[in-house]
Amino acid sequence: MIELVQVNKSYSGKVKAVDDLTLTVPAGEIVGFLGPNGAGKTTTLKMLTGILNPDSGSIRINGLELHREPIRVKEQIGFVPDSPDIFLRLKGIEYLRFMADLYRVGGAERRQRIEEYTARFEMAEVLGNKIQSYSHGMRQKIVLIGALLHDPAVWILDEPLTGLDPKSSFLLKEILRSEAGKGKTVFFSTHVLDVAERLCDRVAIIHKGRLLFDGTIAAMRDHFKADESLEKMFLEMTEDE
Amino acid sequence: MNRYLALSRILLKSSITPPASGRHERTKTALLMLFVAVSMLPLVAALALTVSKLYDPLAAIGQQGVLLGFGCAISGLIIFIFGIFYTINVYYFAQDVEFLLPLPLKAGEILGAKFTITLLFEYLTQLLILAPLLVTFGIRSGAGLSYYLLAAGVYLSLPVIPLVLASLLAMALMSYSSIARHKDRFRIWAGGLGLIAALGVQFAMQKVMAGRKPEDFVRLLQEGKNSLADWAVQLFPGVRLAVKALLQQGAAAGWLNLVLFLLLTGLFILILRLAGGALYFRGAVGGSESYAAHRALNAAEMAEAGRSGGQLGALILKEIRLLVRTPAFFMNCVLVNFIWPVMILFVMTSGEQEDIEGLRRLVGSNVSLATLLLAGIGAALLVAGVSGASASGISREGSQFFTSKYLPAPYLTQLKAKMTVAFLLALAGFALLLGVLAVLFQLPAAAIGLLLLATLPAIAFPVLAGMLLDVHFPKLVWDNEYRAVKQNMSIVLLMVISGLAGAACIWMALRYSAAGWTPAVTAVLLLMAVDAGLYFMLAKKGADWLAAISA
Repeated sequence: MIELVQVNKSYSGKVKAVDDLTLTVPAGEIVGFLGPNGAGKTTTLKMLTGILNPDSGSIRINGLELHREPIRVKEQIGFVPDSPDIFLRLKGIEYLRFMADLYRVGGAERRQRIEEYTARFEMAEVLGNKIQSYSHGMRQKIVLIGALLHDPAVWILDEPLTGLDPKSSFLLKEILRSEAGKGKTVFFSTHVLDVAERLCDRVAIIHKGRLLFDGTIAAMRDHFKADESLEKMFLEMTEDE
Repeated sequence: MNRYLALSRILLKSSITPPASGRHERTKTALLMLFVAVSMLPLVAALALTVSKLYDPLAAIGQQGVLLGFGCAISGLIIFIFGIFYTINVYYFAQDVEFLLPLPLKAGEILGAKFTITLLFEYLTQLLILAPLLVTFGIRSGAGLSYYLLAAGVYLSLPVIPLVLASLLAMALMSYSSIARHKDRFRIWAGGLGLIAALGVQFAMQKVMAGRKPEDFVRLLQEGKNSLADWAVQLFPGVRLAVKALLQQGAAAGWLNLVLFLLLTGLFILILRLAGGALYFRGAVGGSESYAAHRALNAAEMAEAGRSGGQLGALILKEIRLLVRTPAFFMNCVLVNFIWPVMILFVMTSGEQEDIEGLRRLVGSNVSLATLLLAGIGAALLVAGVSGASASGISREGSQFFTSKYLPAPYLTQLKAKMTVAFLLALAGFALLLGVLAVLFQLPAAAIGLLLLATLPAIAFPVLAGMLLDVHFPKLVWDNEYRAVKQNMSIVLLMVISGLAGAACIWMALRYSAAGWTPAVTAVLLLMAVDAGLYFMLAKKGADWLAAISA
């Protein structure tokens, strides 16, 4: 479970990126995090993963306070950043081994997971190549596999579907659904409203750092009292007053 | 504004590191830059002094122009040699190329803007060599205003022709070879060759200058052995015109020569423009493709990948792989540790045989082990201080520094991994140096062993100090890996601090050679105490400092 309580973050003490955000993502649910560009989505995800420190408020992952026990919290998270351009000069297999070592994944498990995920994402053929030579989608996939190796209890993904081919995109959605079914927490940001509508149990909409909506799609429809598309509702909600 | 100017402006802006945000940060950066500028002054002063010393005896036989000829030619040669690698990097391998190619720009506009930016940076290079020469020459010859105006014209136009020639060569290489597909390999080879070229020039100069008084040069010139001077001015088209312009400063002929030189320079720019229009896109398009045949793992490799290791080991391995595979990091953090043995071999093979024999006898018989230890500590400080491995440990992460924040490895473990790698590299470099010295001077194995042991604190000092500096002054914003190490003030600062400490040890070894073991033992104990203090600070506060750096 992810809990954000009255979290604030501003840049240079002026621009408020996240404003008094309180949000809970329960275990066993897939929650989509929506918002226009610059709404504060990535800042929130960065605070959840320890990349940024909040100015105030508290962040708990499965009951553990991030500020107090950062390493134990990070060990529970599988994070996929928005840019997959990391460790480009490592070979695919070297990156996966590095991630497995950092997340302390045992020998038998890591081998089995590497073989399974690289086969499913069709990456086995390029594991001996440097990530630098991969396409954007392949880089996205290797980062994704790296985040899956330790079988994380909490998944945090920043625009995970961007750049993936349809097959991999479908596969990822399947995995997300299956993991949530096993009681894992899945929280991801996306611009693709269609994906949110079909995949998420709930959506949270953020705009200018403030949470505008948090609930099921059905509750959102009730809120608008009309059977509108999520896109229309989203646009209406985030339209500047 | 025309597109060439607009593009030049943007490229210049993105070439200069963005200023630090806070006022405090800006002051820190300004002070650091000032420090670096001041530390360059001795080099400039040494050059000016040499020119000043040579002026009178040469002027007595009317050959003072040789100084200008040599200076302009050497400056041009340096710009040409390094320009080949520099232009390939800027024209073809820079990250902006991919963004510029789809824009509706002509090849000449992109090339022109990139050439302009490269030229502006070459003016900075010339500040170290050409500027002291022109100014000293002007002062010694009692030149008037017209000389300085002509000198300004020469200063601004002199690097153009060598840079055009380097650009033409670079374009030809990129258009008709497979270099573009093997960027990293090219950069590592180019860096290695550049280093050898730089060492070669340095030792050739030393060989020419070694032990010679100004009068010897006059004698050489009078004996007609001035072929080198003739060769120098013929090296690049127009150098003779530039030199003539400066020598005939009082007369209209001076200005005429400058105008001719400028016309010639203009002609070369025109050639570059024409060649660029035909060749640039040919080499640049497709330059971002990386060559790699798909390679799956075999069973043995997969079994190896299944072996688990610790966090520290994984971080060390990752650090080594990235250092070795990233050309800029390889040159400045790895290779630099191993140039000393090569330099010693160069010196020993290029120097006068008598001097070397004398040195061998001196080290073999008269120098006590205590003195040798103190000098060794000094050498270790100098050698390890030059490596940028530790002082760029955080900076090298650049835009992917955020990974250090979300990966579940304690910050101190991450720092330890970086320091371990830096220490091992410096130790390996110094051990190799000792090995070479042991063979050359026939030192006993026990002395070498003791030297290696006693110098460990000296090798650790730059590693710890470098890490401490980089945690406080990380240069994370860069668009080119070279900037992380080449324009990193922490590396320069460490070089100066460690260099001064090393020089002090060597000076003490020479000055107090009869003082027995006290100076050497004091130096070892002092360094151990400083190292312990630095390590304690990093262990206690390092994680907090790293956590405070925003990703």
